[in-house]
Amino acid sequence: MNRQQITAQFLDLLKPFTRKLPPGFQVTDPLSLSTDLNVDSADLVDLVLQIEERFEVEVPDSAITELKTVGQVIDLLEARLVAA
Amino acid sequence: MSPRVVITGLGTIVPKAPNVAAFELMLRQGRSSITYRPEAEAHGLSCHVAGVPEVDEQRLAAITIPAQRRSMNGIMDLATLAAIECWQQAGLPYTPGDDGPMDPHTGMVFGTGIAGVETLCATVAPSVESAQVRQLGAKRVEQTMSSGAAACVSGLLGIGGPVISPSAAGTTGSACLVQALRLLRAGLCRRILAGSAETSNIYTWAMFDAMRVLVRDGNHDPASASRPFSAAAAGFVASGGAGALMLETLESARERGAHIYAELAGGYENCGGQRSGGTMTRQSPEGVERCIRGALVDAAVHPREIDYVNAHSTATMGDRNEIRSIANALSRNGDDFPWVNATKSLIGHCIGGAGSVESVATVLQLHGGFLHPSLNCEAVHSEIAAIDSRIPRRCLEKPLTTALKTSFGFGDVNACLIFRAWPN
Repeated sequence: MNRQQITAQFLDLLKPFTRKLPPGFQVTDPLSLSTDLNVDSADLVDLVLQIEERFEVEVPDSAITELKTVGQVIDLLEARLVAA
Repeated sequence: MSPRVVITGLGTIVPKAPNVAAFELMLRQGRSSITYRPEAEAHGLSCHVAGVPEVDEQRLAAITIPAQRRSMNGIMDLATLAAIECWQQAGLPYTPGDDGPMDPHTGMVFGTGIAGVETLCATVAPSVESAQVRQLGAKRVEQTMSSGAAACVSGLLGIGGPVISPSAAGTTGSACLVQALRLLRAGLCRRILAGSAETSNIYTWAMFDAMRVLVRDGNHDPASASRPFSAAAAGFVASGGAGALMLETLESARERGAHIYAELAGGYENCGGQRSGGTMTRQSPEGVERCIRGALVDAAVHPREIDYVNAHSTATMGDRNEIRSIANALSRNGDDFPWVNATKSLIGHCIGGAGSVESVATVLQLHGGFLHPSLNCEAVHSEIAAIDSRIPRRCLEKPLTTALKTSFGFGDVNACLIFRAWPN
């Protein structure tokens, strides 16, 4: 799976968690999941569970707290999936 | 002088009636919404009938956004459907997903009896028992906390006043209305969305079934299973639903030109203290009579003014005790007793939802000038035969002025409300 495919699938998962993606949204934007997209820490826990299921990866709890932006999630997934 | 409080919006969902208009029609037609439940029989319950409200997914999807919908469970679904209907019927603007400013002048008093029981039993317990805790995700606390339904709805609506969830078993809905009335009279809000909700599920049915308080001889004919006041009363029928009433100061309602359905003239709540005949599961007659008198005093209403009682009666021996207590508190009996019916004869016992759903029924009857039939009491119990003529067996078109709503619950707790018709 390449970065583009990962991004498309992740955004699909993200949509129900956020009220609205900003117009012209780019995954390279340094947008905060919490303050810009209104995904709070509890939402992030559920989002990670769905990521684990969709991508068949395991995200350790210690890594969840480090996920602050959309880009960081994509980076993490790319690293895991390439490593696999 | 404390403000008068009026009702400017109604919302409800009960078995076979997903909104207020359908509920009013059901009341007028005297239609039972109790059905046979194969899952009750399959799980070894003795009572195989219940009332189960049907949640319309399309309607819920239309009044929420996915980010909200994904967090909701059964109790939140019912509360949301009733609350949004009430809000819109009150003429207040609502846009799903609205992220605008909150409203500091509106509060919410909305309770549940047994919150999120199906989430606890069907999701939390199996995950814990199988050591799959991580898979529970992050939503189980909000779905099972007593205030979960209120927290969900207040977020949808941007309510910025007090948001609380009093709980008092079968009294919950009426107790919430009493608390809301007091907050409004104290001048703390202009409006309060008040009500309650309860899901109808196999786990709740099982707990009551094991207590042997559910009817066991009605499995063959669900529509005749709930028999308040009857000589054949043999236990209640478990049900669920939600009721929501927009309580508003008269000044606020007039300022914005809102339609007024009725006035909530007074309310009172107390406990029999599990003394003088009261126990955890049985009301003390002294407590009930004191509660009715308290509501009359609070509303400054004379007992003779009451022309209709929406009884708590569930189809147990408690019905007879209730009628005796009302007769004593009003000093009226026989043909002098007010009209009385039991909404539970149509929809069963909505537990924590009962007080608010039945308050919606009371307001609809005051507003529409009718009395719904009390079903399944062709032969009234001999101990209350004196009031036989006061129980409508068919829908009666009748202008009503002042109604008493009684609610009782486990713990020997009581709440009574006085509603007055509003001349529009």
